Amino acid sequence: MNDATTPTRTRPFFGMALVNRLCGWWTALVLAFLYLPLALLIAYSFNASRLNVVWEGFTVRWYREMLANEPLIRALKNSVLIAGVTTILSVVIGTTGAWLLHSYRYRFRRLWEALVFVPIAVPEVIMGIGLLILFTAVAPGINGFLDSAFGAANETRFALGFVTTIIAHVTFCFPLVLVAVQARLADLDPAMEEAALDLGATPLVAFWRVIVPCIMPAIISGALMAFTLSMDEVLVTYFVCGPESKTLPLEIYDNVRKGLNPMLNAISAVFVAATAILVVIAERIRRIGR
Amino acid sequence: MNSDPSKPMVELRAVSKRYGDLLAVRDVSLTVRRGEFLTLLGPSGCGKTTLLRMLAGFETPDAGCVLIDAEDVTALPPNRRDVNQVFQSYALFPHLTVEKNIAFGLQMKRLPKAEIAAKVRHAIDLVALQGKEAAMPATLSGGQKQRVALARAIVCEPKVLLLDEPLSALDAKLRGQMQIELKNLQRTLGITFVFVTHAQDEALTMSDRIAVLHRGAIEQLGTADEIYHRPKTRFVAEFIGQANMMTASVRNREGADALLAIGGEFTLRAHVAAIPATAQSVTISIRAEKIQICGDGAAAENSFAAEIEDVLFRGEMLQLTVRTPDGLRFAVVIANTGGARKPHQVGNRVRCVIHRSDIVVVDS
Repeated sequence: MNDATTPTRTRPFFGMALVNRLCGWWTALVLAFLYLPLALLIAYSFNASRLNVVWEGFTVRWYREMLANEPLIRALKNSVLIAGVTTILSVVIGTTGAWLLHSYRYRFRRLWEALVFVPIAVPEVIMGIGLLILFTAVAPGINGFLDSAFGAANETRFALGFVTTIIAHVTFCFPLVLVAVQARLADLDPAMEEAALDLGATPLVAFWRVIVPCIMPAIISGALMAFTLSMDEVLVTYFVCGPESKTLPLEIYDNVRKGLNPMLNAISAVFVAATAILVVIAERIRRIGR
Repeated sequence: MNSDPSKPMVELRAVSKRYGDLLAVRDVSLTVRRGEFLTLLGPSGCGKTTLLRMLAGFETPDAGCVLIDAEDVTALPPNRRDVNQVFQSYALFPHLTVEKNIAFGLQMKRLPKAEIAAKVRHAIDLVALQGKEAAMPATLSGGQKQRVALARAIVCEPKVLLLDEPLSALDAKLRGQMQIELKNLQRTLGITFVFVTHAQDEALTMSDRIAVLHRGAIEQLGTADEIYHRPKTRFVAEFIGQANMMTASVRNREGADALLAIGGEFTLRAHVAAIPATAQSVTISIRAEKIQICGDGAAAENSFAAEIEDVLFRGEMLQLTVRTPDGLRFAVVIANTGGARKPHQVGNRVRCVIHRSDIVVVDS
């Protein structure tokens, strides 16, 4: 592409070239540090040997075993269900929350905004214990209410399970949606809503037909982040999930305690791939929206 | 429709609005006639935008009421008012095509699809956007966005069209062109326009009447000619055009004339009718372009000798500063007819003439 008219770029002086090269090496090192474990994990998921350390040839046996593993597949279904419901609730709560914080002037507004982030900042162990205490504390009351409402035949009980896991996940997932949407709203022309109202839309119609489309990229990227986080979460889930709502990361964790198994490499590889795809999509959408 | 042609289209009755400590609008009363192009003109923070937002329904006055077509709309939300606005930022919906942007208001009114399509087509023709129907707003130029915003508002056939500095984002050439187009559009449609701007050229070019606002109150309401030639207050005289403002003491009155002394010995003759009978001292305004420069001719009435102190080349005009032997300075604007000859140069001695009817008393 270098035609005669373009002047050749002057070489940077030697010291600069060295700095550039060192920076390149450093970047490579950091990337290796980040991705080598994942690369090894994926590589060994195709290893014919039971032992991770020796390579005995290519196989998809562990993937087949994984698909045949009843508890693992059940855990995967649980995870997808929990993450799905968590995402929907987080989108609704996060988006409306961001809109309300954006459009109305509250007293102590900064405090509300800060409070939203506390569940993310607090160590997960503490969140987990806190939620566990809460659920066990309110369970007798709720069950008493359910019994009196539906009579002696009542089978519905409030116990650790899907509901508590979803509640717990929503507490730290909806702030992600809220933050993403709030940033988008801050960039939005305030006249946008006014224009819709001016043209005869009620506030609700204006929100639905003008504001939501404008902030859709933020909603989608927030939703994908919420989904990913819910899928990955271990610690809080460990405290609040019941036996029947055990999630995939917990199932993997339990398996690892029994000893490393190549099948776990396989499921982890799938997990990594799915997460990576979601993150890439989220990032793409966020950029398109800008 | 209860459109009684004798009634005003818009009426503001003693409206006030306060933001914290700031009284943004103080006790403003104003009527806009049917089919009129009225401009609210003033510097930023004068309350013009707040007034417009009260008409649109985005702000509620703390006191007073707003009437549109003889109906009290003070408590009505914007979506239930028969007015539409062209926003300064245009506020086009980025996810909708040009056509769908324009159709939005009609869809909100739940008109039949065929009617919407016909009206949208007509509006697109009016603003000359044929061929851009399916374009997204982000792909349009500033001028085109402006037209879409305009079409989106007028397609609803509002009783009043509100325009909030709609030309401020356009370049000078396009702005001049849009001024003419806007005025023509307003004449064709017969819609009442309330136009907000801080640019006096826009106000002077397009308006039937101009309300000059200052610190939340109307300083003067009148035609462009009245505002320009007969400013009632010092603020109006200074804000519009370029004026020489001076304090003069009233020396003596002889019949229709009064002799005004400025500084020490410098005197000018003015019409006595403009000066209140008891006034001892008045503020006068002389427009820079009303001072004539006539070489070094004979001494006419209200003529004085001066030296050119400064010359600014402004293209079609020359902006001069002249100084009298007493040390008084006048800003003078003259047509730049000199061409390559440069008749007016710093240091030249000239004679200036001010016609007595061009001396406007703005304060006493």
